[in-house]
Amino acid sequence: MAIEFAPGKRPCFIGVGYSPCHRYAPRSLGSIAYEAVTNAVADAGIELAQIDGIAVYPNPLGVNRGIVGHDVIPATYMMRMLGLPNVRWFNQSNWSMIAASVIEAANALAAGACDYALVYRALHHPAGVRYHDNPATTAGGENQFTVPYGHGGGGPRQALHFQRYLSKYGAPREALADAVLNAHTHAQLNENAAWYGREITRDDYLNGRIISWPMTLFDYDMPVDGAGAVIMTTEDRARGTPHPGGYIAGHAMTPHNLERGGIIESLEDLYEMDGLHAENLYRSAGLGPADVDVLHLYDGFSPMMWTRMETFRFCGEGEAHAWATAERLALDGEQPFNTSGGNLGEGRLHGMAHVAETARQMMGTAGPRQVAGAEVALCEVGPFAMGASFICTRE
Amino acid sequence: MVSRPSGRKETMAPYGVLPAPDALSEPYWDAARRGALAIQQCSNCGRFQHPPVYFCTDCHDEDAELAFTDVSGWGAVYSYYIHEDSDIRAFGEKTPYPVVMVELDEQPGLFVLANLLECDYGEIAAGMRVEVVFERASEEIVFPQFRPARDGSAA
Repeated sequence: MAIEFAPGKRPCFIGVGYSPCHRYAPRSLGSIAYEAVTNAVADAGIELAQIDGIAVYPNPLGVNRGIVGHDVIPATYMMRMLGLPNVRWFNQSNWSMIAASVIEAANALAAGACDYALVYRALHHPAGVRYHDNPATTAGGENQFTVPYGHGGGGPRQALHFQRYLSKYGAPREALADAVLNAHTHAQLNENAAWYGREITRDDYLNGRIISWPMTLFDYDMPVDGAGAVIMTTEDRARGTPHPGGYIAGHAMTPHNLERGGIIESLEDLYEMDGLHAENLYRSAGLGPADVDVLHLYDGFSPMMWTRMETFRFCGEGEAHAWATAERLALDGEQPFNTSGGNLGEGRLHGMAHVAETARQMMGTAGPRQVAGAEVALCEVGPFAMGASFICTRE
Repeated sequence: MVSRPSGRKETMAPYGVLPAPDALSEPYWDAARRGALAIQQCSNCGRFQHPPVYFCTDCHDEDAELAFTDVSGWGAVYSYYIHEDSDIRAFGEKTPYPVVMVELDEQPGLFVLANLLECDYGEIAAGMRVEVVFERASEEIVFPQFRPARDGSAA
Protein backbone atom coordinates (compact mmCIF):
# COMPACT_ATOMS: atom_id res chain seq x y z
CA MET A 1 0.00 0.00 0.00
CA ALA A 2 1.19 3.49 -0.81
CA ILE A 3 1.52 5.84 2.13
CA GLU A 4 -0.73 8.85 1.57
CA PHE A 5 -0.74 12.19 3.34
CA ALA A 6 -3.60 14.71 3.45
CA PRO A 7 -3.20 17.79 1.22
CA GLY A 8 -0.58 20.12 2.69
CA LYS A 9 0.41 17.54 5.30
CA ARG A 10 3.36 15.83 3.64
CA PRO A 11 6.13 15.75 6.24
CA CYS A 12 9.38 17.38 5.13
CA PHE A 13 12.70 18.76 6.37
CA ILE A 14 13.29 22.47 7.01
CA GLY A 15 16.54 22.53 9.00
CA VAL A 16 19.75 20.60 9.62
CA GLY A 17 22.29 21.27 12.37
CA TYR A 18 25.49 19.60 13.47
CA SER A 19 28.28 19.73 15.95
CA PRO A 20 31.77 18.78 14.81
CA CYS A 21 32.45 15.05 15.26
CA HIS A 22 35.66 14.32 17.16
CA ARG A 23 37.25 11.11 18.34
CA TYR A 24 37.09 12.60 21.82
CA ALA A 25 35.69 16.04 22.62
CA PRO A 26 36.50 17.79 25.91
CA ARG A 27 32.87 18.84 26.42
CA SER A 28 29.75 17.29 27.84
CA LEU A 29 27.49 15.51 25.41
CA GLY A 30 24.73 17.89 26.48
CA SER A 31 26.64 20.89 25.17
CA ILE A 32 27.43 19.04 21.92
CA ALA A 33 23.76 18.20 21.41
CA TYR A 34 22.77 21.76 22.33
CA GLU A 35 25.00 23.07 19.53
CA ALA A 36 23.55 20.69 16.93
CA VAL A 37 19.93 21.40 17.87
CA THR A 38 20.25 25.19 18.03
CA ASN A 39 22.04 25.11 14.65
CA ALA A 40 19.16 23.09 13.19
CA VAL A 41 16.57 25.48 14.60
CA ALA A 42 18.44 28.47 13.17
CA ASP A 43 18.74 26.73 9.79
CA ALA A 44 14.99 26.12 9.82
CA GLY A 45 14.24 29.78 10.55
CA ILE A 46 11.99 28.99 13.50
CA GLU A 47 12.10 29.67 17.25
CA LEU A 48 13.00 26.99 19.80
CA ALA A 49 9.60 27.45 21.42
CA GLN A 50 7.90 26.30 18.21
CA ILE A 51 9.27 22.78 18.67
CA ASP A 52 6.37 20.71 19.94
CA GLY A 53 7.53 17.20 19.04
CA ILE A 54 10.74 15.21 19.57
CA ALA A 55 11.91 11.87 18.21
CA VAL A 56 15.25 10.45 19.26
CA TYR A 57 17.31 7.28 19.09
CA PRO A 58 18.90 7.83 22.48
CA ASN A 59 21.74 5.35 22.69
CA PRO A 60 23.16 2.15 21.29
CA LEU A 61 22.72 -0.96 23.37
CA GLY A 62 25.27 -2.27 25.81
CA VAL A 63 27.69 0.59 25.65
CA ASN A 64 29.13 3.17 28.03
CA ARG A 65 27.68 4.01 31.38
CA GLY A 66 24.36 5.54 30.43
CA ILE A 67 24.72 8.64 32.58
CA VAL A 68 22.02 11.11 31.47
CA GLY A 69 23.55 14.32 30.12
CA HIS A 70 26.98 12.75 29.92
CA ASP A 71 26.62 9.57 27.85
CA VAL A 72 23.04 9.85 26.64
CA ILE A 73 20.62 12.70 25.87
CA PRO A 74 17.04 11.45 26.23
CA ALA A 75 14.13 13.59 25.00
CA THR A 76 13.33 14.54 28.59
CA TYR A 77 16.85 15.91 29.14
CA MET A 78 16.65 17.85 25.86
CA MET A 79 13.42 19.54 26.99
CA ARG A 80 14.99 20.54 30.31
CA MET A 81 18.24 21.70 28.71
CA LEU A 82 16.58 23.86 26.07
CA GLY A 83 13.64 24.87 28.24
CA LEU A 84 11.20 23.75 25.56
CA PRO A 85 7.78 24.91 26.78
CA ASN A 86 5.44 23.47 24.15
CA VAL A 87 6.32 19.81 23.56
CA ARG A 88 3.15 17.72 23.30
CA TRP A 89 4.54 14.55 21.71
CA PHE A 90 7.84 12.73 21.98
CA ASN A 91 9.23 9.30 21.20
CA GLN A 92 12.37 7.31 22.00
CA SER A 93 12.85 4.33 19.71
CA ASN A 94 15.41 1.65 20.49
CA TRP A 95 15.15 0.04 17.06
CA SER A 96 16.48 0.87 13.60
CA MET A 97 18.41 3.87 14.85
CA ILE A 98 17.74 7.41 13.66
CA ALA A 99 15.82 6.61 10.47
CA ALA A 100 13.13 5.09 12.67
CA SER A 101 12.95 8.42 14.53
CA VAL A 102 12.38 10.23 11.22
CA ILE A 103 9.54 7.83 10.46
CA GLU A 104 8.03 8.37 13.94
CA ALA A 105 8.23 12.14 13.50
CA ALA A 106 6.76 12.00 9.98
CA ASN A 107 3.77 10.00 11.18
CA ALA A 108 3.24 12.27 14.20
CA LEU A 109 3.38 15.37 11.98
CA ALA A 110 0.96 13.89 9.45
CA ALA A 111 -1.46 12.97 12.24
CA GLY A 112 -1.26 16.43 13.80
CA ALA A 113 0.33 15.16 17.01
CA CYS A 114 2.90 17.94 16.58
CA ASP A 115 3.68 20.76 14.13
CA TYR A 116 7.47 21.07 14.37
CA ALA A 117 9.45 17.96 15.23
CA LEU A 118 13.06 17.84 16.39
CA VAL A 119 14.91 14.63 15.46
CA TYR A 120 18.40 14.28 16.86
CA ARG A 121 21.19 11.86 17.60
CA ALA A 122 24.02 12.46 20.09
CA LEU A 123 26.75 10.01 20.99
CA HIS A 124 29.54 10.09 23.53
CA HIS A 125 32.66 7.98 23.28
CA PRO A 126 34.62 8.31 26.51
CA ALA A 127 38.40 8.17 26.26
CA GLY A 128 39.93 5.05 27.74
CA VAL A 129 36.75 2.98 27.37
CA ARG A 130 36.58 0.21 24.80
CA TYR A 131 33.32 0.75 22.90
CA HIS A 132 31.92 -2.78 23.23
CA ASP A 133 34.00 -3.85 26.21
CA ASN A 134 32.60 -7.14 27.49
CA PRO A 135 33.86 -8.19 30.93
CA ALA A 136 31.45 -11.16 31.12
CA THR A 137 32.38 -14.48 32.72
CA THR A 138 28.89 -15.93 32.20
CA ALA A 139 26.42 -15.56 29.34
CA GLY A 140 22.65 -16.06 29.38
CA GLY A 141 19.85 -16.07 26.82
CA GLU A 142 20.90 -16.47 23.20
CA ASN A 143 24.37 -15.22 24.13
CA GLN A 144 25.11 -18.49 25.95
CA PHE A 145 25.48 -20.11 22.50
CA THR A 146 27.88 -17.48 21.16
CA VAL A 147 29.83 -15.47 23.76
CA PRO A 148 31.53 -18.52 25.39
CA TYR A 149 33.09 -19.14 21.94
CA GLY A 150 34.51 -15.62 21.89
CA HIS A 151 31.82 -14.31 19.53
CA GLY A 152 30.07 -11.11 20.57
CA GLY A 153 29.11 -7.67 19.31
CA GLY A 154 28.13 -6.41 15.89
CA GLY A 155 31.51 -6.54 14.19
CA PRO A 156 32.05 -10.30 14.51
CA ARG A 157 28.45 -10.91 13.46
CA GLN A 158 29.15 -8.81 10.36
CA ALA A 159 32.37 -10.73 9.71
CA LEU A 160 30.37 -13.97 9.34
CA HIS A 161 28.06 -12.32 6.79
CA PHE A 162 30.98 -10.76 4.94
CA GLN A 163 32.90 -14.04 4.63
CA ARG A 164 29.72 -15.76 3.48
CA TYR A 165 29.29 -13.08 0.81
CA LEU A 166 32.90 -13.47 -0.36
CA SER A 167 32.67 -17.28 -0.48
CA LYS A 168 29.25 -17.38 -2.12
CA TYR A 169 29.85 -14.82 -4.85
CA GLY A 170 33.59 -15.22 -5.35
CA ALA A 171 34.19 -11.58 -4.49
CA PRO A 172 37.63 -10.28 -3.48
CA ARG A 173 37.80 -8.57 -0.08
CA GLU A 174 39.88 -5.78 -1.62
CA ALA A 175 37.03 -4.71 -3.92
CA LEU A 176 35.36 -3.08 -0.93
CA ALA A 177 38.05 -0.39 -0.99
CA ASP A 178 36.13 1.66 -3.55
CA ALA A 179 33.03 2.08 -1.40
CA VAL A 180 35.06 2.69 1.78
CA LEU A 181 37.27 5.30 0.10
CA ASN A 182 34.16 6.93 -1.39
CA ALA A 183 33.08 7.69 2.18
CA HIS A 184 36.47 9.12 3.08
CA THR A 185 36.62 11.20 -0.11
CA HIS A 186 33.20 12.72 0.57
CA ALA A 187 34.15 13.37 4.21
CA GLN A 188 36.82 15.78 2.92
CA LEU A 189 33.93 18.04 1.83
CA ASN A 190 32.18 17.78 5.22
CA GLU A 191 33.89 19.93 7.81
CA ASN A 192 31.97 18.28 10.66
CA ALA A 193 33.36 14.85 9.78
CA ALA A 194 35.81 13.15 12.12
CA TRP A 195 37.97 12.29 9.10
CA TYR A 196 37.81 15.81 7.59
CA GLY A 197 41.32 16.92 6.66
CA ARG A 198 42.88 13.46 6.93
CA GLU A 199 41.88 11.38 3.95
CA ILE A 200 42.99 7.75 4.02
CA THR A 201 44.51 6.08 0.95
CA ARG A 202 43.88 2.75 -0.73
CA ASP A 203 47.10 1.50 0.88
CA ASP A 204 45.84 2.57 4.31
CA TYR A 205 42.67 0.59 3.74
CA LEU A 206 44.38 -2.52 2.38
CA ASN A 207 46.92 -2.48 5.23
CA GLY A 208 44.39 -1.79 7.98
CA ARG A 209 44.90 -3.67 11.22
CA ILE A 210 43.03 -6.98 11.32
CA ILE A 211 40.03 -7.02 13.66
CA SER A 212 38.02 -10.08 12.62
CA TRP A 213 39.39 -11.35 9.33
CA PRO A 214 38.24 -10.73 6.60
CA MET A 215 37.32 -7.41 8.27
CA THR A 216 39.99 -4.86 9.06
CA LEU A 217 40.14 -1.50 10.83
CA PHE A 218 38.58 0.76 8.18
CA ASP A 219 35.63 -1.59 7.67
CA TYR A 220 34.29 -0.22 10.95
CA ASP A 221 33.02 3.31 11.57
CA MET A 222 34.85 5.16 14.31
CA PRO A 223 33.11 5.98 17.60
CA VAL A 224 33.02 9.74 18.13
CA ASP A 225 31.70 12.50 20.32
CA GLY A 226 29.18 14.35 18.21
CA ALA A 227 25.58 15.22 17.48
CA GLY A 228 23.32 15.96 14.55
CA ALA A 229 19.74 17.22 14.34
CA VAL A 230 17.01 17.86 11.79
CA ILE A 231 13.79 19.86 12.07
CA MET A 232 10.73 18.47 10.33
CA THR A 233 7.31 19.97 9.72
CA THR A 234 4.44 19.61 7.26
CA GLU A 235 4.32 21.05 3.74
CA ASP A 236 1.84 23.81 4.61
CA ARG A 237 3.98 25.14 7.47
CA ALA A 238 7.22 24.68 5.52
CA ARG A 239 6.22 27.19 2.84
CA GLY A 240 7.45 30.22 4.74
CA THR A 241 10.80 28.73 5.75
CA PRO A 242 14.14 29.43 3.97
CA HIS A 243 14.81 26.08 2.28
CA PRO A 244 12.24 23.32 2.76
CA GLY A 245 12.73 19.99 0.98
CA GLY A 246 12.80 16.25 1.37
CA TYR A 247 9.07 15.62 1.26
CA ILE A 248 8.49 12.13 2.62
CA ALA A 249 7.12 9.90 -0.14
CA GLY A 250 7.20 6.60 1.72
CA HIS A 251 8.88 4.60 4.46
CA ALA A 252 9.31 1.03 5.73
CA MET A 253 11.14 -1.17 8.24
CA THR A 254 12.66 -4.65 8.01
CA PRO A 255 10.20 -7.42 8.92
CA HIS A 256 11.35 -10.31 11.12
CA ASN A 257 8.99 -13.00 9.90
CA LEU A 258 11.76 -15.16 8.42
CA GLU A 259 14.19 -14.90 11.32
CA ARG A 260 14.95 -18.50 12.23
CA GLY A 261 18.37 -18.53 13.81
CA GLY A 262 18.12 -15.57 16.19
CA ILE A 263 21.57 -14.10 16.60
CA ILE A 264 23.10 -16.99 14.60
CA GLU A 265 21.47 -15.64 11.45
CA SER A 266 22.25 -16.43 7.85
CA LEU A 267 23.02 -13.97 5.09
CA GLU A 268 20.20 -15.54 3.09
CA ASP A 269 17.59 -14.84 5.79
CA LEU A 270 18.77 -11.25 6.01
CA TYR A 271 18.59 -10.90 2.23
CA GLU A 272 15.07 -12.18 2.10
CA MET A 273 13.83 -9.95 4.94
CA ASP A 274 15.65 -6.89 3.64
CA GLY A 275 14.27 -7.57 0.17
CA LEU A 276 10.78 -7.40 1.67
CA HIS A 277 11.79 -4.19 3.44
CA ALA A 278 12.90 -2.67 0.13
CA GLU A 279 9.78 -3.72 -1.77
CA ASN A 280 7.58 -2.29 0.98
CA LEU A 281 9.52 0.97 0.80
CA TYR A 282 9.16 1.23 -2.97
CA ARG A 283 5.48 0.35 -2.83
CA SER A 284 4.83 2.91 -0.10
CA ALA A 285 6.58 5.65 -2.08
CA GLY A 286 5.33 4.68 -5.54
CA LEU A 287 8.94 4.97 -6.69
CA GLY A 288 11.71 2.48 -7.52
CA PRO A 289 15.50 2.30 -7.50
CA ALA A 290 15.71 3.80 -11.00
CA ASP A 291 14.09 6.99 -9.66
CA VAL A 292 16.68 7.51 -6.89
CA ASP A 293 19.20 10.30 -7.61
CA VAL A 294 21.02 10.30 -4.26
CA LEU A 295 21.50 7.08 -2.30
CA HIS A 296 22.35 6.82 1.38
CA LEU A 297 22.81 3.33 2.82
CA TYR A 298 24.00 2.39 6.29
CA ASP A 299 27.73 1.78 6.54
CA GLY A 300 28.46 1.23 10.23
CA PHE A 301 30.11 -1.96 8.96
CA SER A 302 31.36 -1.52 5.42
CA PRO A 303 30.10 -4.83 3.88
CA MET A 304 26.53 -3.70 4.57
CA MET A 305 26.86 -1.19 1.75
CA TRP A 306 27.18 -4.05 -0.74
CA THR A 307 24.36 -6.16 0.61
CA ARG A 308 21.92 -3.23 0.73
CA MET A 309 22.84 -2.10 -2.80
CA GLU A 310 21.67 -5.55 -3.81
CA THR A 311 18.58 -5.96 -1.64
CA PHE A 312 17.39 -2.47 -2.62
CA ARG A 313 17.95 -3.55 -6.27
CA PHE A 314 20.53 -0.98 -7.35
CA CYS A 315 22.36 -3.99 -8.77
CA GLY A 316 21.75 -7.73 -8.90
CA GLU A 317 22.44 -10.28 -6.15
CA GLY A 318 26.17 -10.91 -5.78
CA GLU A 319 27.04 -8.03 -8.12
CA ALA A 320 27.74 -5.10 -5.78
CA HIS A 321 31.43 -5.91 -5.47
CA ALA A 322 31.79 -5.15 -9.18
CA TRP A 323 29.08 -2.46 -9.37
CA ALA A 324 30.19 -0.23 -6.49
CA THR A 325 33.09 1.51 -8.20
CA ALA A 326 34.58 4.84 -7.17
CA GLU A 327 33.38 6.41 -10.44
CA ARG A 328 29.81 5.25 -10.04
CA LEU A 329 29.47 6.39 -6.40
CA ALA A 330 31.09 9.83 -6.82
CA LEU A 331 29.14 13.10 -6.51
CA ASP A 332 29.11 13.40 -10.30
CA GLY A 333 28.81 9.65 -10.87
CA GLU A 334 25.91 7.53 -12.05
CA GLN A 335 24.71 6.86 -8.46
CA PRO A 336 25.97 9.46 -5.95
CA PHE A 337 26.33 7.58 -2.68
CA ASN A 338 26.75 8.52 0.99
CA THR A 339 27.60 12.03 -0.09
CA SER A 340 28.64 13.43 3.31
CA GLY A 341 30.84 10.43 4.06
CA GLY A 342 28.35 8.20 5.86
CA ASN A 343 29.33 6.80 9.24
CA LEU A 344 32.66 5.60 7.87
CA GLY A 345 33.75 9.12 6.95
CA GLU A 346 31.87 11.24 9.44
CA GLY A 347 31.93 9.05 12.55
CA ARG A 348 29.62 6.69 14.38
CA LEU A 349 26.38 8.59 14.91
CA HIS A 350 24.36 5.54 13.86
CA GLY A 351 22.85 6.85 10.65
CA MET A 352 22.62 10.56 11.49
CA ALA A 353 25.00 11.30 8.61
CA HIS A 354 22.63 9.53 6.23
CA VAL A 355 19.50 11.27 7.53
CA ALA A 356 21.05 14.76 7.69
CA GLU A 357 22.61 14.51 4.25
CA THR A 358 19.42 13.16 2.71
CA ALA A 359 17.67 16.24 4.13
CA ARG A 360 20.39 18.64 2.91
CA GLN A 361 20.49 17.18 -0.60
CA MET A 362 16.73 17.52 -0.92
CA MET A 363 16.70 21.01 0.69
CA GLY A 364 19.45 22.11 -1.69
CA THR A 365 21.80 23.02 1.18
CA ALA A 366 24.55 20.42 0.72
CA GLY A 367 27.03 23.10 -0.43
CA PRO A 368 30.12 21.64 -2.10
CA ARG A 369 28.49 18.19 -2.00
CA GLN A 370 25.23 19.22 -3.65
CA VAL A 371 24.30 16.76 -6.39
CA ALA A 372 23.13 18.82 -9.37
CA GLY A 373 19.51 18.28 -10.28
CA ALA A 374 18.82 15.71 -7.56
CA GLU A 375 15.06 15.19 -7.20
CA VAL A 376 14.73 11.92 -5.22
CA ALA A 377 16.76 10.55 -2.31
CA LEU A 378 16.66 7.19 -0.53
CA CYS A 379 17.91 6.86 3.04
CA GLU A 380 18.33 3.51 4.79
CA VAL A 381 19.77 3.11 8.28
CA GLY A 382 20.39 0.19 10.63
CA PRO A 383 22.58 -2.93 10.69
CA PHE A 384 21.48 -6.55 10.11
CA ALA A 385 17.68 -6.83 10.28
CA MET A 386 17.39 -3.50 12.13
CA GLY A 387 16.76 -1.50 8.96
CA ALA A 388 14.44 1.47 8.53
CA SER A 389 14.23 3.58 5.40
CA PHE A 390 12.45 6.44 3.70
CA ILE A 391 12.33 8.02 0.27
CA CYS A 392 11.88 11.76 -0.05
CA THR A 393 11.73 14.27 -2.89
CA ARG A 394 13.03 17.74 -3.69
CA GLU A 395 9.54 19.13 -4.41
CA MET B 1 48.61 -5.86 2.13
CA VAL B 2 47.38 -7.66 5.23
CA SER B 3 46.38 -11.29 4.84
CA ARG B 4 44.60 -13.97 6.81
CA PRO B 5 46.15 -14.56 10.24
CA SER B 6 47.88 -17.91 10.63
CA GLY B 7 47.56 -20.27 13.57
CA ARG B 8 45.82 -23.34 14.84
CA LYS B 9 43.93 -24.22 18.05
CA GLU B 10 43.99 -27.73 19.48
CA THR B 11 41.73 -26.56 22.29
CA MET B 12 39.94 -23.42 23.45
CA ALA B 13 40.28 -24.42 27.13
CA PRO B 14 40.44 -22.91 29.64
CA TYR B 15 37.06 -21.27 29.01
CA GLY B 16 36.67 -17.79 30.48
CA VAL B 17 32.95 -17.37 29.77
CA LEU B 18 30.48 -20.07 30.81
CA PRO B 19 26.81 -20.36 29.84
CA ALA B 20 24.07 -19.74 32.37
CA PRO B 21 21.64 -22.57 31.52
CA ASP B 22 17.96 -21.72 31.87
CA ALA B 23 14.67 -23.62 31.45
CA LEU B 24 14.95 -23.33 27.69
CA SER B 25 18.60 -24.27 27.27
CA GLU B 26 19.13 -26.84 30.02
CA PRO B 27 18.49 -29.89 27.80
CA TYR B 28 21.15 -28.64 25.37
CA TRP B 29 23.82 -28.50 28.07
CA ASP B 30 22.62 -31.76 29.64
CA ALA B 31 23.13 -33.47 26.29
CA ALA B 32 26.58 -31.97 25.83
CA ARG B 33 27.57 -33.34 29.25
CA ARG B 34 26.78 -36.86 28.03
CA GLY B 35 28.64 -36.24 24.76
CA ALA B 36 25.76 -35.51 22.43
CA LEU B 37 24.72 -32.52 20.36
CA ALA B 38 20.96 -32.08 20.87
CA ILE B 39 18.86 -29.54 19.01
CA GLN B 40 15.33 -28.32 19.74
CA GLN B 41 12.77 -29.87 17.39
CA CYS B 42 9.10 -29.08 16.79
CA SER B 43 6.76 -32.02 17.48
CA ASN B 44 4.26 -30.69 14.96
CA CYS B 45 6.31 -29.93 11.86
CA GLY B 46 9.56 -31.70 12.75
CA ARG B 47 11.71 -28.66 12.08
CA PHE B 48 14.87 -28.08 14.12
CA GLN B 49 15.73 -24.64 15.48
CA HIS B 50 18.75 -23.21 17.27
CA PRO B 51 19.21 -21.31 19.54
CA PRO B 52 16.09 -22.69 21.27
CA VAL B 53 12.91 -20.56 21.33
CA TYR B 54 9.60 -20.84 23.20
CA PHE B 55 7.65 -21.31 19.95
CA CYS B 56 8.24 -22.94 16.59
CA THR B 57 9.61 -20.32 14.19
CA ASP B 58 8.34 -22.36 11.26
CA CYS B 59 4.81 -23.70 11.82
CA HIS B 60 3.93 -21.49 14.82
CA ASP B 61 1.63 -24.25 16.14
CA GLU B 62 0.63 -23.25 19.64
CA ASP B 63 0.34 -26.85 20.84
CA ALA B 64 3.71 -27.98 19.50
CA GLU B 65 6.11 -29.58 21.95
CA LEU B 66 9.66 -28.37 21.58
CA ALA B 67 11.86 -31.18 22.89
CA PHE B 68 15.53 -31.76 22.12
CA THR B 69 16.67 -34.46 19.71
CA ASP B 70 20.21 -35.81 19.41
CA VAL B 71 21.69 -35.00 15.99
CA SER B 72 24.62 -36.58 14.14
CA GLY B 73 27.17 -33.87 14.84
CA TRP B 74 28.14 -33.76 11.13
CA GLY B 75 27.98 -30.59 9.18
CA ALA B 76 29.77 -28.13 6.91
CA VAL B 77 31.36 -24.75 7.49
CA TYR B 78 28.87 -22.11 6.30
CA SER B 79 30.98 -19.10 7.24
CA TYR B 80 33.87 -18.18 9.52
CA TYR B 81 36.23 -15.46 10.65
CA ILE B 82 39.57 -15.25 12.44
CA HIS B 83 39.24 -13.05 15.50
CA GLU B 84 42.34 -10.94 16.06
CA ASP B 85 40.93 -8.24 18.37
CA SER B 86 38.10 -9.40 20.63
CA ASP B 87 35.84 -7.17 22.75
CA ILE B 88 35.38 -10.04 25.20
CA ARG B 89 38.00 -9.64 27.91
CA ALA B 90 38.24 -13.36 28.61
CA PHE B 91 39.40 -13.88 25.02
CA GLY B 92 42.09 -11.19 24.97
CA GLU B 93 44.89 -13.75 25.40
CA LYS B 94 43.43 -16.28 22.96
CA THR B 95 43.64 -14.24 19.75
CA PRO B 96 43.83 -15.00 16.95
CA TYR B 97 41.15 -17.68 17.13
CA PRO B 98 38.66 -19.00 14.54
CA VAL B 99 34.89 -18.73 14.87
CA VAL B 100 32.79 -20.86 12.55
CA MET B 101 29.11 -21.04 11.71
CA VAL B 102 28.39 -24.72 11.03
CA GLU B 103 25.38 -25.80 8.97
CA LEU B 104 24.26 -29.15 10.39
CA ASP B 105 23.47 -32.03 8.06
CA GLU B 106 20.02 -32.52 9.56
CA GLN B 107 18.47 -29.47 7.93
CA PRO B 108 19.46 -26.72 5.47
CA GLY B 109 19.77 -23.42 7.32
CA LEU B 110 20.28 -25.04 10.76
CA PHE B 111 23.34 -23.42 12.26
CA VAL B 112 25.45 -23.72 15.40
CA LEU B 113 28.34 -21.47 16.28
CA ALA B 114 31.67 -22.82 17.53
CA ASN B 115 35.43 -22.60 17.23
CA LEU B 116 37.14 -24.81 14.69
CA LEU B 117 39.79 -26.93 16.43
CA GLU B 118 42.66 -29.01 14.98
CA CYS B 119 42.75 -27.01 11.75
CA ASP B 120 45.30 -24.53 10.36
CA TYR B 121 43.57 -21.19 9.82
CA GLY B 122 44.73 -21.15 6.21
CA GLU B 123 42.75 -24.35 5.53
CA ILE B 124 39.39 -23.08 6.75
CA ALA B 125 36.94 -22.73 3.87
CA ALA B 126 33.21 -22.55 3.27
CA GLY B 127 31.77 -26.02 2.62
CA MET B 128 34.48 -27.84 4.57
CA ARG B 129 33.15 -31.02 6.27
CA VAL B 130 33.31 -30.91 10.08
CA GLU B 131 32.33 -33.07 13.04
CA VAL B 132 31.43 -32.25 16.61
CA VAL B 133 33.87 -32.82 19.48
CA PHE B 134 33.36 -32.01 23.13
CA GLU B 135 35.51 -30.01 25.55
CA ARG B 136 34.95 -29.99 29.28
CA ALA B 137 35.07 -26.47 30.75
CA SER B 138 33.88 -27.17 34.31
CA GLU B 139 32.07 -29.83 36.32
CA GLU B 140 28.74 -28.71 34.86
CA ILE B 141 29.67 -27.38 31.46
CA VAL B 142 30.87 -29.28 28.40
CA PHE B 143 31.12 -27.35 25.13
CA PRO B 144 30.30 -28.76 21.70
CA GLN B 145 33.13 -27.75 19.36
CA PHE B 146 34.01 -28.76 15.79
CA ARG B 147 37.03 -30.11 13.92
CA PRO B 148 37.62 -31.20 10.31
CA ALA B 149 35.68 -34.43 9.70
CA ARG B 150 37.65 -37.67 9.83
CA ASP B 151 36.92 -40.97 8.07
CA GLY B 152 33.35 -42.19 8.22
CA SER B 153 31.71 -38.79 8.09
CA ALA B 154 28.46 -38.69 6.21
CA ALA B 155 28.58 -36.27 3.27
